[in-house]
Order: sequence, then C-alpha cells, then structure tokens
Amino acid sequence: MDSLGLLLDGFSTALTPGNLLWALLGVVLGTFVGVLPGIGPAMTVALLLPITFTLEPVSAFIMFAGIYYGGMYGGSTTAILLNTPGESASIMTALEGNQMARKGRAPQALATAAIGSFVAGTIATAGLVLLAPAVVGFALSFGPADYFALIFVAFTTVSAVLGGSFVRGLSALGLGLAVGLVGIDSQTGQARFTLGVPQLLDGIDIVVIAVGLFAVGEALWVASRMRHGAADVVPVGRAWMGRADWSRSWKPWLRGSLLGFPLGSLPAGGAEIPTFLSYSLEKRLSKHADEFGHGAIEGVAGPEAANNASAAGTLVPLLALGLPTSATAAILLAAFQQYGLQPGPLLFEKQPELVWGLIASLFIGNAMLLVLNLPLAPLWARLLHIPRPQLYAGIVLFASLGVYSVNGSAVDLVILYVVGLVGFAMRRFGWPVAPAIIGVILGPLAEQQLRRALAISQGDYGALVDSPRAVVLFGIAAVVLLAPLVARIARRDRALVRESEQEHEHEAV
Amino acid sequence: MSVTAPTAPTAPDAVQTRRSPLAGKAELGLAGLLLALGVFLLVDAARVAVPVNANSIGPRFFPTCVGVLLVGVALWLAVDVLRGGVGEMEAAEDVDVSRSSDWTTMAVLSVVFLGHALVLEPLGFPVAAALLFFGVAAALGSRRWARDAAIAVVLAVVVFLVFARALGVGLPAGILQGVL
Repeated sequence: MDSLGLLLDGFSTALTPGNLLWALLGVVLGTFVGVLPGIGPAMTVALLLPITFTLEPVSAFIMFAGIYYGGMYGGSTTAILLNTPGESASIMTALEGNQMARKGRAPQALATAAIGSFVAGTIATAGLVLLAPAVVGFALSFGPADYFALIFVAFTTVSAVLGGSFVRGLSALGLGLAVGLVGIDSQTGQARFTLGVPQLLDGIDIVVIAVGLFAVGEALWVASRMRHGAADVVPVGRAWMGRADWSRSWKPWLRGSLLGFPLGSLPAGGAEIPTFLSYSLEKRLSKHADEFGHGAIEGVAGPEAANNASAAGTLVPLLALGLPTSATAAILLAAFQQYGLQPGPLLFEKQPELVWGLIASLFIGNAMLLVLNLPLAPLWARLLHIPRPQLYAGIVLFASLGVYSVNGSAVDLVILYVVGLVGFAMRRFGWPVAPAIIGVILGPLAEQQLRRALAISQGDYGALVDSPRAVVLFGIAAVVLLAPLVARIARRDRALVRESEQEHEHEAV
Repeated sequence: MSVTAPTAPTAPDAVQTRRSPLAGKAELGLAGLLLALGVFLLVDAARVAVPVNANSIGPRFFPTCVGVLLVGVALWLAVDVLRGGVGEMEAAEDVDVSRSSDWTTMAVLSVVFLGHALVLEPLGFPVAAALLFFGVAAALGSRRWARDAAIAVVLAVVVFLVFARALGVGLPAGILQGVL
C-alpha cells in the first residue's frame, strides 16, 4: 500500500511538537471563530487566512486543516444553541438540534454532533486517502482540453446547484470571472482591465475578495437589517449522551458519512444536498419518525455526519485536481496559491510532505476537536452572548487587519469596501456567493488551459472536444445547464395555470 | 425624541411606491451594472494589444467570452426580475429578513470604514483600528460609550503588538511610533 506509507510519512511530519501546536492552534481558532454567530466556515477560513502567511507552508497547511474542521464544528454548535443556521448546510441541524436543546437535551444534541463529526470526518478522511491517489493517477493523463472541460463543468454545476436561482448563480459566476481577469495577462504581459490604476496590475488579491465578500459584506448585510433584542441562546452544560442516544445515533452517523463523502467529492458543490438527503433518509428509517421536527436525535446525527463527510469529500477534487467546489474550498485553493503552490496531480508528486502532512493533520485535528469540544461546550456557548455591535466591530477590525497585511496598501481597504458592497447586494438579492469566488479563482486557470489547448492544436477549436473525456464532461455540463431550465419552465407553466385558475375563482367570487 | 424622522417615508407614500411598476425591482440596477461590466469587458478587450508572437488565441479571446456571458446573463436577469423573479434573501443568525433596509446604519458604517482606510497610514494602525471598532459598534447601535472605547483601545493595542511586533506583520505605528 503506497498511499499508506505516504500517510505514515505524513503523520511523522504532523506529529512533531511544533506542528502539533499549529494543529491545536488551528482547531481552537477555527472553533472559536466558527462558533461566533454570523460566521460560517468560509468566513472563518477567509478571516484567518492572512494569519498563516507568516508561517512556512507545511505548518500553515497543518494549521489550515485544523481551522477547516474547527470552523465546521463551531458552526453546528451555533446552529443547535441558537435556532438560526449560519449556512444552508446547517439548516437541518438547526431544525432538530434546536428543538432538542429547547427540551433540555442540548448536551445530547451537541454530543451527537461532535461524535458524529468525528466519526464522519475520520471515515471521510480515510476515503480521501484511498480516493485521492486514484484520482491523481487518472488526472495525470489529463490534457489541457480535459482540464478546461472539467473547470467548465465546475462552473455550471456550482452556478446551477448553489442557491435557488440559476440566473443569479450565473450572474455571480460572471462577476467573479470578470474580476479574475483584472491584471497583467500571464502569457503576453499585457495589462487588462486595470483602468490605468497601477495597484491593479497584479490583479485584485483573492484575500481582499474573500474577506470583502464574506466579512465586510456580511457586516453590511447585518447592519442593514439587524435582528434586535437579546439572542435566544439555550444554556448548556458539558456535552454527553446516554446509552439510548448512542444506539439511536451510530447508524445515522455511518449512513450520513457514506452519503456525504461521495456527494462532497463530486464537483457538484456544497454540503447542502447530502445533509438534506441524510435528513429525509433518517426520517424514513427511524422508529421515532413522529419525533422528527420536535427534536429527533437521528435528525442531528445524520445531517451533521453528512455535512462533515462532505467537507472532507470536497478535498478530493481540491487536492487531486485543483478544483474547488465550495466557497470554503476556493479560499483554501487561494491559500495554496499564496504560497505559489498549485493543487493538482503534480502537487502530490512534488510536495508529498505537504500534501500528506495536511491529510494526516485532518485525522489529528479531528481527534483534537472531539477531545476539546465535549468538555468545552459550555465555554463555546458563552461566545454566543457577545453583543452584536461589538462582535461585528471585531470582525471588521480583523478584516481590515488581514487585508492591509497582504500588500501593506490602504488602497486595498477601499477595494475591500467596494467588494463588501457587492457582497451586501448579493445577499440582499439572493445571489449565491460561492460561484463568484470560484469564478475569481478558476477563471484564470480556465483561460490558461484553454489557451494551452488551442496553442497545441494551433488554433483548431475542434481540439477542445477531441478526447472522449472532454466530450463526456461537456455532456455533463450540458445536462446540468439544461435540466433545471426544463424543470423550471415546466414548473412555471404549471404555476401560471394555477394562478390563472385562482384569478378566475376570485373573479367568480 | 422625535417619532418620525423628516426623511422617513410616510405610510401612504410607501403604499404608493409599492404600486409603481418598478417598485421592488431594485435588482434591475444590478442587471444594469452587469450589462455595463460586460460592455466594458468587450470594449476594453478589443483595446488590449496583441503581441506578434501570440500563438492561436491571444489575450482578447477569453475576456470577450466573459463579456458576452455577462451581457447575456444581464439581459436574462432583467427579464427574470421584470417577470417577478426574486432571489431568496440570505438568512443569517443576526439578520431579520422581514425588516426593510436601514440605510442610515449602512451609511454610517460606510463612512466609518472609509474613514478608517483614510487615516490608517497617517495615524497608524493602533489609533485607526480603535476608531474603527468604536465607530462600527456605535453605528450598529451600541450606546455604552465608555466600555466600547476601553475595549477598542485595548483590542487595537493588543492586536498591534501581537501582529506587528510578535508575528512581524507590516502594520504602520503612525503617531504612536516609538511609544508602542
């Protein structure tokens, strides 16, 4: 077993005292920021991104592994204790978990979420160890045309799947692609779309975009319609659960993991679908179906496991293909790029220490989270009482710090504000943020692969569909593009018919 | 304490604007921006110089594709909005989507943030960050001035010491140069 040996090497990298400390710091910071209300995993990673820049790559990514899982974990605590989910993947956890908490079963809800996250994270990370090298082996034979087709699929799936409205997903994607074009063209050295502003020659830094869209955009969004009145936090003690809870939880954990990992590793974006699927599956299989909606532990155990497994699954296309399929993964890719690293098959060959150290840290971070979070739950719960004005003041302060530290330029802060306004408008009008950030990051890669493919073929566009792989990929993209349209037209026709029927009824009355 | 601010729309006004055909269609503005951005890409892409040695497709091709995409999507979005299509406002823990937009708070927040960007280099990070924290907290409705000011100063100084002095991040000390 080759990858097992490499994984053991990874553990020897990750288990040095220094790197263990970075992993612990990442886990604690990730949970801390993730628990803060209003901050989802993507914003957690975006806000903490600049902090890691002073570290060497291996330590930085070990810390990132902790932040990634910690942020996920923190989000579920918030969902359970405060009935409002911070992101769509936590909707189910918020639904059942908060009902449990209101019935005095908050410790059990937190425990099944924590242990379920650990189980799912471990299974899915093991899946990553097995699957990633296989994908790498397959991807090594990819030509530029195949890569272009793959990125094209990611664009279409991410725009179609995330958020409810396809045209708004495409709008967000187009916006991201446009922003990604700004700067010097890497192949010809020509300045493009810089409006003559010298600060734009290097492009708009991805940290500015991520922090702007997530932190400043969120702060403006909250400012525009803040929920008033004290937060309704359910008090909680140490997280624990009894025998009956264990026997009701372990199967949903396993099923959630098996659902979350494969769906997460497909380039189809987001933990939303696996968590919804897991919820409805558990509801159907449970002997306590009547409890669903009123605090069924299976309804927390399954979706939480699916959520975490899907987060690990997302790392398969990210590490093996360099293809981010969620906003959080896109920001992780940006972190790699800050170090001049490009995830993909070559990273596994050139930087095995980094890749396998990162994967080993996922196992370690997962175990640390379990040990930390069962006893520390009451402490994290206290963070939910931070008054909102001070909380968002702190977020904005760290946003400014992070963005300024990238280039030491106050101009970046103005750009940050403008990106924040865009983030506000996107939230206001229901444009999904993930396609925008994926467009910014993958747009330049798409152009690079496209130009490479056409340079090899000397300008013959037929080369884009020469390989059967590319044809299959474009076919998938076409299905993704057309299926929702067809469904929507059908639904709209039906709705129109119903509407006109109702109007007739009104007229009759 | 006055109950109605002079600029606040009175109830009959609100009803009237709701009846106007363009009310609730503010997203058309975004569609317009997308369209403008797409046209800008198309026009500016045509101005990018193509070096003689550029093989096959040069630096213009991909931006032109994106420009076409943006124009197409902008038109689609406009049609969707006019037909009554709306995106679902993003839910968040601290957001009450049933409220209407509070532009005053947003404007104050914007002034505070842009002011911060302006004074960051002349006054230095500790002072600018403390003002930012205090300003944002006040904009979002905190009225505990003394406590906020204390938190702002302590947080700004601690963050500066940790990041600039301990981690070596380049932050300007400004007027506190030599003090911190």
